[in-house]
Order: sequence, then structure tokens, then C-alpha cells
Amino acid sequence: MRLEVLEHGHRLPARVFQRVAASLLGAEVDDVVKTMMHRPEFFGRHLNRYVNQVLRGPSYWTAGEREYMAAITSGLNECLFCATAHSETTRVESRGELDVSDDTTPRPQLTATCDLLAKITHTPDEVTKADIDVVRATGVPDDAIVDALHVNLIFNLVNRLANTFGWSWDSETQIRKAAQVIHLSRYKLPGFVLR
Amino acid sequence: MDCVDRHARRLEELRRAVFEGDGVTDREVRVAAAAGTSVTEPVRGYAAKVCEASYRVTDEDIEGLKTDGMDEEAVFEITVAAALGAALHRFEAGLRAVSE
Repeated sequence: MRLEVLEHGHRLPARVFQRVAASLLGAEVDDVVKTMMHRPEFFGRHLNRYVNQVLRGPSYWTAGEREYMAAITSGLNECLFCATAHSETTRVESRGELDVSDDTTPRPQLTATCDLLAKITHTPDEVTKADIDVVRATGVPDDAIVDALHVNLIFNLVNRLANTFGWSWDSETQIRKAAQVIHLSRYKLPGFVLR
Repeated sequence: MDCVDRHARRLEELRRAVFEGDGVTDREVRVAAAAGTSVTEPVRGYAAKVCEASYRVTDEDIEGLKTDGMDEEAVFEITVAAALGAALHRFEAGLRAVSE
């Protein structure tokens, strides 16, 4: 990473967690987690709670569909780090039913919503009620549109951090293991590393 | 808008921590980085790049901030603030359209 403090500037609980997790997983803790554990009161603790609720809390959208939105937004922001990871989490959470590289796999409601998210990501000031009505016409309720806006917000934020801080994957194995950890933990980091 | 935004509270907690919480940078600097209204270079150009084309950020951009006297904690805070500002701008545009 481009900032040494994100790589090695953690407090003792986070340092211990990294050593134990690396030994259990056989892969180093990823750069997202390292960034969230750095001065968590400023950012990571609050991001982690928000992400856990938006991506795994109750929603009209399945976890796999929210991962699909994450991967699509990441592609739009040219964030290879997140696009790669969330293509894999989409596959895991949807049990192979959704494929980010195959736009025939999502239901029409998800396709219409991703078109809206694309416009919001690239030209937010041009978004109008007419764009929302296109999504509504497929049967998506307003609550679900707002949920999708939150998923989009998370990745419009995190993609920028990934690109700027220089987050990277060590190997394909690390990506697959990260997706499994996300599946099991539902994005929830242990509280002691965020204190 | 006839719907409930069930994530508003969590988002507000994140927003407050980044823009109003304690940090090594002034709160006004973080808010300005998020709004694209920073008045001094190189922060203004850096924050704009994070917001509009983060995939173009280079090692030299970060080094430039450090050469200008900014330590890594300040770079961390300014980057998070700028990225959150860009994400909030997009979210609020979407939310306005839902409410129209």
C-alpha cells in the first residue's frame, strides 16, 4: 500500500489479530481490513457497521444481488481490486447463479437497478425521477431502490480508497479465501480490532 | 419519498466520524476536501483526483503531499474525506430523484 501507516501502523489488538488470522487462513489479512483497523474510531469501525447492515442486513435484494451491484459499481470506477473480489463474492453468495461477466444472469429488476447505479456513478447531476421510474416499472419498490443506493455509496467510497491507497491482492488464493471469510463473517470484524 | 431509509443512522455515524471527529487535520479541511472547495494546493488537486479519477492516482501524488509537509495520517484523513464526499454526492443525487 502507498501509506506505511495502513500497512504497519496498527494497535496491539489489530497486530495480534493479523498474526492469528494469517496463521489460520494461510493468507495475509487483506488491505481492506488493514485499512479499517487503522485508527478505527476515525473511519473503520463506522464503515464496518454500515457495510454489515447494508450488504447483509434485511433487504429486497439477496446478498448475491448486492454483491453483483458492488462488482458492477467497482467496474464503473475502474477499481480492479474490488471488481475482482466482488465478482467472486457474487459467485459465492449466489451459489453460481449470478455471473458478473454474463448480463443474462440477473433478473430484470437487478439489471434496471444497475443501469440506474451506472448513471448515478458517472453522471449523478443528470439523474431524474424518470430514471427512477424506469426501475419502478420493473416492480422494484422504493425501499429497495434506496437500499441499492447505499450499496452504490459504499463502493463509490471504497473503490476510491482502493485505487488511491494502492490496495492489491497477493494471489488468487487470497481472493478466494477473502470471499469465504466474508461469507462466514457477513462482513463483521471482531469488535476488539475496531477499538 | 414513501419509504424508510433503514441505513440512515449508520451512514450518519460514518459521516460524523469522518467530518466531525478528532483527527490530525482540521475539520474544515476535511469538509472542504469532500466538497471540492479546498483552497490550497496540493490538497485541492489531490482531492479532486480522488473524487473524479482515483484510478489515476500515482505514487508521485502521495509523495507530493508528503513533500509539502503532510504526514501519512493527514493523507489518510484527506483521502477518506474526499472519497466519502464523492460517494455522498452521488447518493444524495439518487435520493433526490427518488423523492421527486
